[in-house]
Amino acid sequence: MNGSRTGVVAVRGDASRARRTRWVVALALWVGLAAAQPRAELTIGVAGEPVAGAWTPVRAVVRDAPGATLRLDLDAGGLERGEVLQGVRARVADAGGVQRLDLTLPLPAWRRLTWRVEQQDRVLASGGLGARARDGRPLALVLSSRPARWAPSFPSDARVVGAATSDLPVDAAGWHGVASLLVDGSTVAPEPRTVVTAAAAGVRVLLPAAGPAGYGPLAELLVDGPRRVGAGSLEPVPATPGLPLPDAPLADWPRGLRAGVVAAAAEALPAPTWRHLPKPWVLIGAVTYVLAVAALLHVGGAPGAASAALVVGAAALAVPFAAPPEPAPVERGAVVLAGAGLGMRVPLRAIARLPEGESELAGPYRPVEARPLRWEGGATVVPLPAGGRARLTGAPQLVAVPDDVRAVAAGEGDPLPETLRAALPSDTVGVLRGDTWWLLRRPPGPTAGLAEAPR
Amino acid sequence: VSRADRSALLPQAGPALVLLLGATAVALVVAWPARPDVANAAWSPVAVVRVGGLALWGWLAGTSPTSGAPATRRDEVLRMLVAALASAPLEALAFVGSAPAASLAWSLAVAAPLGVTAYGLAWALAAALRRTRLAWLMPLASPLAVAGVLLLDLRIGPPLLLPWLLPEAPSLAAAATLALGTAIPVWLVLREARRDRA
Repeated sequence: MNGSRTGVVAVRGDASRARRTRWVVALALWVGLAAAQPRAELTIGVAGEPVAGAWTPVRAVVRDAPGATLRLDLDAGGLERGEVLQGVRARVADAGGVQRLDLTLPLPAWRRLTWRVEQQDRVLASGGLGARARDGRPLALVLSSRPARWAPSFPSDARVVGAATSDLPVDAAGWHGVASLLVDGSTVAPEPRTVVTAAAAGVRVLLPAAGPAGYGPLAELLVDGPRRVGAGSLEPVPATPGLPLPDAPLADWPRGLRAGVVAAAAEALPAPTWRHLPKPWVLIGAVTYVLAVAALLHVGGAPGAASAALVVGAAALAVPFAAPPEPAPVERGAVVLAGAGLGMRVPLRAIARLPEGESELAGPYRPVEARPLRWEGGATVVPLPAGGRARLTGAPQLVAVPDDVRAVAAGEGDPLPETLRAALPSDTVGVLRGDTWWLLRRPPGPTAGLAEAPR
Repeated sequence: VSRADRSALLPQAGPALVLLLGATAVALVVAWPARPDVANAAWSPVAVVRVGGLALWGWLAGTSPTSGAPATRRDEVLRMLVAALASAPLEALAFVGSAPAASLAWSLAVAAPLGVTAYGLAWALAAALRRTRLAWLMPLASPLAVAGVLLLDLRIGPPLLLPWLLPEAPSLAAAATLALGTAIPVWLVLREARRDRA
């Protein structure tokens, strides 16, 4: 009896131990999985593909690390320039859970790029890209469940990248490093607004003309066939994957032309001035002062000395009024590359500093020529030596072309600055509104009535 | 102190003072930018001319054959102080116009002590040569001594007396050197003045 009772107890004890073991193993697995999950991740570029020399989306995802900071340091130098250090400092929201930080930054052609996400002194994640990972070729994005079958459709040197709908940038600047977007209708349909933004920002967009469910709004964009939109185009995707794509419709602002025009527009900005005291005034003032002091001291005695002291005192009091009104002047402007009702607006800045120091511009800007700077808290901080200057261009934004600009452009337009005109095709018309140059081309062809779409 | 003595203490325009003011003014006008888009970098040359001018003045006055009389020494130190004061607005104008990363107070304050220090060093050299009956060597010894002092200063590291570097940044070592270099000649001049009165 005892033996059989003991046996039951032993079986129960084994079952209980097995249950406990299972719980312990499950808990250990859960803890292990939780620990294995990175606390922070960084994605640079559309679909994780950075394009050197282009405005690039950067996304940091941080888990349970309130107030974590992203530090990205890169060397934009070269053999001739030497080391040119640029950096990004951005702080994640001071809250728990999953926090996301989305930035669109001008990524230069880097020699070395390192990043880390840190919370106080603790590094949550880090990584880097060497010079070999640098690729300046724009992306050919393929939005397909089987993107590989479209690869033969592109030229052999194209940088074909399979992407998901969630990878697509939402702002015009994020599309800067993308040459084409092919959507074959086999995935979740992107927003029409996203597609039109891409086209207006200069991307060649290929869409299914008669798409499956969810593609209706996109198919409507092609009701009138291929069309130019802003700086890019919309056209139907070929029915058969793998065959070479047809020639792209003639874009108003091809990629190479856009870069040159924006740089020329930045160069055409007037040089910032300090408005010094005019030199003749300084000459007259200095000569008068020296003669007055010398003459009064020559008179000698107490009256002469007292008068000279008065002159010196008065001169000392007048000195502060000779200070330049703005020791760090900024010239503002913008250029809009317009076409078919939409335009890509690029803010331009020319800055200068009389004393050595750091000039701060609200928003992200990239220098026309590689120079040390950093992007910090949504602003661009440019260190300049005494008397230093820099020209910068801002992130492209999508704008609708106003009717009055179109009306003026239908005529002769406004006379363009020589620097800008030299970089433009002869059929370009410029219209100056405030500090913004609207540039439109006059090729014959269909125009899109899509100005309302991205709003 | 008699009325004549008090009158002699008042500053007077001498050729050196006019020359220093003129040179500082010329440096200011030449270095001032003619166009508003050119950065103003007038302060540096103006400061060098003013500070260097006072140092040169002090040295030449100290090695001058007429520097033996106590009254002459007192007048010379006074003239240098007046010149430093009178040329200060010109340097301040250059400073305000060019906004350099430097200290205006230091630059303005350092000129007179450097002049007096140079005067004291030159005076010491002249006295030593006279004492050893080698005064005839002064034309050779003076530039050699200047070169030696400047070379030594360059070797030491932080500028103590170099007129083209001294105004750039405040330095405790330079301040101590100039304070000592000013205190000794001024004390000697005052002691001589007391002896004269006695």
